[in-house]
Amino acid sequence: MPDVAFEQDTLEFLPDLMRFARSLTRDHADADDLVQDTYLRAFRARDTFVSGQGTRQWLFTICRNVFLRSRERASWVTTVEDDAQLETLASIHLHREARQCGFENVFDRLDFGPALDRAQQALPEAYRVAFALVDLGGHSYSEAAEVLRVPVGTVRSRLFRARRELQKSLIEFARDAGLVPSIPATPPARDAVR
Amino acid sequence: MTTPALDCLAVMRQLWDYLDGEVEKPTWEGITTHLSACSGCAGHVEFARSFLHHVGTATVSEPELLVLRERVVVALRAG
Repeated sequence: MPDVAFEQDTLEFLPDLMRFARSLTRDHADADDLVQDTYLRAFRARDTFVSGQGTRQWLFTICRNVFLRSRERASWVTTVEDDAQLETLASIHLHREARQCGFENVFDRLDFGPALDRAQQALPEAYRVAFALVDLGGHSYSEAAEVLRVPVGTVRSRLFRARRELQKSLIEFARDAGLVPSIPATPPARDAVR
Repeated sequence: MTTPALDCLAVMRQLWDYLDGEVEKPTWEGITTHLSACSGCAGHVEFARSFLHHVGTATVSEPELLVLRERVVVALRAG
């Protein structure tokens, strides 16, 4: 990649990288350092990269690698892998509970950004990173799997677990914030999935 | 060949894959057809969709972004 094109080709991904780095570090100052380090390393390695071929994924991979090098690897992998489909069904159960409590539209009624930031802080690292890659960074499951160097199934299970934990935290956040439950206008629809 | 109709459990197991566009076209069509006729499943999907929508619009603040961008650019040009 020519020097003159580097900034143009990479800086458009700065917002995504910033959010990813914040998810990794859980600290804004550390995240800014990580992003800067990522760009500098990418710049030094620019000759090894072919422009237009997954620039964003390349940057995310560097960011992840830089972060990992600064951490004990053991802390990165100590999560129990869950079944992705069971996680999905657990999310549905969570929705059913929210609906019964009058929190059907809870996400519309929250100050969502700050609540999400807080909820993310409590997530184990592996789940938080899968969530950041797919839901904040816009990666597909397979792209995230490449960045993390894990199977696609692992990305799915971590991502779905993260989403369930975040939904649960957001509902609890709404309760703690004194959000008044809405009264359903009609009885809840029958659930076929038990 | 007609794709067999999906039941609620089969649809809900694939809820996130469906919303993420990570299912094959015949499965996507089968789920969409099911949702058009099943208010229970459709409600679950809307709840999940609402969550993803809000996540997608929760952005970092513009001033913080501009400060970091300037910092990165300065670092890059310094080599």
